[in-house]
Amino acid sequence: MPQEFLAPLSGLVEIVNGDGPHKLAGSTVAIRSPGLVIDADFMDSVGPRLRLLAMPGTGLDHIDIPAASERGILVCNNPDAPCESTAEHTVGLLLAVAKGIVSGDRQLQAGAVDRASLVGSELRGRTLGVVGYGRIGRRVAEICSLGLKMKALVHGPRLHAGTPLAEGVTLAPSLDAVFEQADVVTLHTPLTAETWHLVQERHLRLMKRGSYLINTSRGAVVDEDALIRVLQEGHLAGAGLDVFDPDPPAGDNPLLHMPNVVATPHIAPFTEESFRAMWSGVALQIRQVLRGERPDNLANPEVWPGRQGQG
Amino acid sequence: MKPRVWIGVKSPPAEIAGPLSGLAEVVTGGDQGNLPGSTVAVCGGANAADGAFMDLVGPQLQLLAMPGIGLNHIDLAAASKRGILVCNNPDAPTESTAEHTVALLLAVAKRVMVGDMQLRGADIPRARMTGTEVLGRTLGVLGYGRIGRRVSEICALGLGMTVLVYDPFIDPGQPGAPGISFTEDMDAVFARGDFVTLHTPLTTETRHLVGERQLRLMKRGSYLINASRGPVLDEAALIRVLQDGHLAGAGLDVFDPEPPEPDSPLLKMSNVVLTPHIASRTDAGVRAMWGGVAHQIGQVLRGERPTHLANPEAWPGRVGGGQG
Repeated sequence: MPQEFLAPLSGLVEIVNGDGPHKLAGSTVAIRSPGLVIDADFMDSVGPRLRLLAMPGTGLDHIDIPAASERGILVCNNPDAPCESTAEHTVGLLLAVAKGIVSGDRQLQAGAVDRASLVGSELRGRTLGVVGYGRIGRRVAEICSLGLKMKALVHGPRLHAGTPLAEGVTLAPSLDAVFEQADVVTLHTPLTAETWHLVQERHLRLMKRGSYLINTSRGAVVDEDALIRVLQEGHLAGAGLDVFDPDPPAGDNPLLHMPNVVATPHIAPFTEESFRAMWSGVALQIRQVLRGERPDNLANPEVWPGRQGQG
Repeated sequence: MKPRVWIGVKSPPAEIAGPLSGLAEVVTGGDQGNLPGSTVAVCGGANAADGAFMDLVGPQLQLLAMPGIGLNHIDLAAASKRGILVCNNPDAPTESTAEHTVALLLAVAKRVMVGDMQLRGADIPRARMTGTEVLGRTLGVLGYGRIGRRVSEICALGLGMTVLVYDPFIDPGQPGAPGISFTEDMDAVFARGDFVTLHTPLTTETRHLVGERQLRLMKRGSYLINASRGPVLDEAALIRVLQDGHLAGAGLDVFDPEPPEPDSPLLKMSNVVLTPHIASRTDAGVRAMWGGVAHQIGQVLRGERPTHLANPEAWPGRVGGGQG
């Protein structure tokens, strides 16, 4: 964890940063780092002093929230902090795939440019399908419709006919319609029991031949084996992926050996601005909890009513 | 005998052949042995057309046609002197080139290339992958023609960047779209931009327009994007400011010389994203460029003035009638 972001906590707490799990026991607050699964055993290994589990980012898929609630432990995330960077990264992957940026660079570095393989797609007027219209999905739709002049066709569980949508954004009649009509589909759902393998081979085959899939949400939202098949057959023209299943991907994952795939190692929220927002959010939430205040973005509010202020 | 149309590229897209079938004999492949006696020569980026080239084609030559916008490979004065028409397709590559520019900008800002290299086995620490959010950042735009304008629009309206434009040929007092403003001070584009993107044609005035002085005016940690022409930028100076870490990265579709030499230091820099002059190479861009070439060849063969005549001074002396 970057030192500069810890300043707001100095004097308030003793910080144990980057050490092994043996330092966990007796902690009042635990901040999740990437790759850490926080289940009941983890919570019990910290012990009864644990009051807060803080997530710098949005995703809560590695946290056993019922187990936390059962133990009276607060869980917080920072859903706004990585939004802008993740949305921008999504558009970056979309453009990189559509324009042959990574293959063009690789061919130049290798000294073997095959211009016939480098004919990309113009995006203006094309249809962008957005699955999941939360903070990130909305911002991606906005960048693509207002800036790139794409038509955005959106689908989300909380969207209905009366939902106000930005200029150039249309509500899709169904999830299938997003896959059928789009030239590019981008995924922005959290990973939950309902969204695990939400995108199956059937959906990918509904997509037009030559279209693209972008995923910066969670790897397991897509059936990755199915994605590999439709890419290998050439049904999809390419994919831009920041997330995998498992994540990080194994070295022999076929996706990492395809020239028409742009793959980044789950770095969509990796920007200076997003780090600052995530860590200052975490610092604020820790101060709130230590002062006995209800923290911002409490993910398990059912824990709060029984809690007493105790700074 | 049908007039011959010589095409200086290996495999031109189908868009060129259809409209000309019946009108002309089309010779593709770029073999200069087929040039003499041609009525039209279509020059891609690699075919420089100077007076000697025109004389090699011979007195039948009526039209030099460019699929794209750039005329820097054509000696316009020599063409006019010989009464040869020159035409380009200035609108055709606009959208694709603007989109490619934004793609390069995001690829460097988001560490897309290093991320992809790391996943494919390169040893790159995660610390090298901390990128930059572009919302609210300043984009300096040098040149506000078709492409510069469209890049400004994508970045201001879509990405929420603050855009500052310099162009000597526009009125800096004109109202810009939201987020776009103009300056009369070219240096300000460099001094204030977190990203600077170049969109000028290559002319004698714009050769090395951007030198070490301008690059050093840029903030430490900023980025340069070039999808215009390589020689607009002093490439050796760019390499120096990248090597000493003054710039955080660059996104380049064009080089000087082009293609870049195999030992160009740019090829070894992981914070530089390079593409081999493919900005306009998209489905729609290629269709528009070659469709425009075919259309203008048809016009000239029918004795009509072509839509995008770059040397109108060659027209008045021309007698309508073509060859058809």
